[in-house]
Amino acid sequence: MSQPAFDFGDEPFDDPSNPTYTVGELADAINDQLRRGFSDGVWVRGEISGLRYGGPHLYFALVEDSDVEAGSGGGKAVLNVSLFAPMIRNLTPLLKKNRLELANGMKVRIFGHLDYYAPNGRLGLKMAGIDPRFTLGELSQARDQVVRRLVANGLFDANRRHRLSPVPLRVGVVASVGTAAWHDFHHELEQSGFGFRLAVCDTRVQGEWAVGMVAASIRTLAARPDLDCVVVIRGGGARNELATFDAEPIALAIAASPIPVLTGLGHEVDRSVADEVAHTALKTPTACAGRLIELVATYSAATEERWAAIVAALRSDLVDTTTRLSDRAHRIARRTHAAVERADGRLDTRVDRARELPLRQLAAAERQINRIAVRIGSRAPQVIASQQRDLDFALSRLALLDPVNLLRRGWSITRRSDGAIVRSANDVIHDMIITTQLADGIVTSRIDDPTEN
Amino acid sequence: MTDKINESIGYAAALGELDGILRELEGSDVDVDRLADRVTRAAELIALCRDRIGNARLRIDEVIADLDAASGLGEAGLDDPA
Repeated sequence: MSQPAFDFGDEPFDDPSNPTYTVGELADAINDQLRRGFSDGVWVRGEISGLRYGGPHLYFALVEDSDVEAGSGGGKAVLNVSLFAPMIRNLTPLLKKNRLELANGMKVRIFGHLDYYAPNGRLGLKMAGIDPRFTLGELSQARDQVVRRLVANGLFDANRRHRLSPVPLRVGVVASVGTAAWHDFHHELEQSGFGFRLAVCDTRVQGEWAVGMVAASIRTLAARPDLDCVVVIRGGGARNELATFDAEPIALAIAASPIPVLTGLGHEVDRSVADEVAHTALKTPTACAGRLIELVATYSAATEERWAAIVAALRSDLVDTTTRLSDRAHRIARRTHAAVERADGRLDTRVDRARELPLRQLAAAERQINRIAVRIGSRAPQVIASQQRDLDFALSRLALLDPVNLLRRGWSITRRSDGAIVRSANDVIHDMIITTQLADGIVTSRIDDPTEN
Repeated sequence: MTDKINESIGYAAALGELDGILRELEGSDVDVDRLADRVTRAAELIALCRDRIGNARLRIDEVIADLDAASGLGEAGLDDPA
């Protein structure tokens, strides 16, 4: 570049070799140079900031990626980007296809033409293209890092270890109240007719402050002792907006929650980190409500069924018991009646026997005593008679020996005068006077011849 | 004497003693001197036994009458004022 001359001599103002530009000419010249230097446009990457619509056009600043050190010079490098309506129309299908939506904080690789805009004297980029793979790769990388850290800290499965109540009626809701997502969720629960009780944290779920607010809401609701679970919902949206739910603070809040966290983040394909760490991840807020309703309905049905079964069992038991009782009562009645009759019969028999037997015994005893009396009565005379007979016999024998009786029969007793009984011829001598006692008197004799035989 | 026996001797004992007396009397060597005593004793015992039998019969009749009255057997209408 030639060195400008500052001596201001008498040179003409419009020296063709060193022309003086008007501002407009310079602007054109700058643009010419820019087109020449970046003939086919330029790819640049950075983070979207200060996104705003101006009429149908979109403006934002592309700032140096916060991960990259600030470029030469102080402060962060900034490039103003304009996306005009026709380009928006051109790019929308590509963005939609990749479910991306330009937003602040989004890391992008964009294509465009540098343009010096004369009316405000600013250099900018007229955006003409975008590389979705870059943004997606960035998102995926960030997401992977968060997941790796969660796994390493043992937090990845932490929330899934909590048991979800079978009747999750007390629900903490993290949602942006007023959004379609909230309405879908709320409507679904209301329609179910079950008595859900909601504790709602109205939270921004996208944009700059979304991460902090969502995480804080989850923590707040999780700390409540009166909730069965926390539900985090959000309507469908761009994938990069969903990146909010890839943020570590939200994942940590979910992992630390002592009650199960359910997500319904309105996306069909991707799973955010929040989904990965959640107790249960569902695709939409409606599905989230549906799951809660399903659980309660299942529980309710099971309870009804059990109750019905209990009632049926009780009824059946009752019928059985009544039948058995009745049966037994009849049997008892029959048997008792029979038993009473038998007992009565036995008693009668016993009464009769009780009546008869003692009397019979007494009669026997009486007969026995009478027999004894007879025997004793007859025996004593027998004994006396027998004794008498013995006595008589003795007497008769005695009578035989009586001398009187002997004298009568002719026997005699001869005594000497001295009274001695003559038993031998030698007891007498000649002329001895002897007396002979006969039965009827005494004969006195004199011994003539005492001759021995 | 009878009173004394009544107090001191039971029916079975009386019967046993009577049997003893019978055996003694029916033996071959009865002592005539004891004969009258044994017969007297036997008469006493027989009287005692008869007395007991009579008493027992009376009581049994009473008891059975009570039993019949209580069960309503037999003496139906006994308590009927008509």
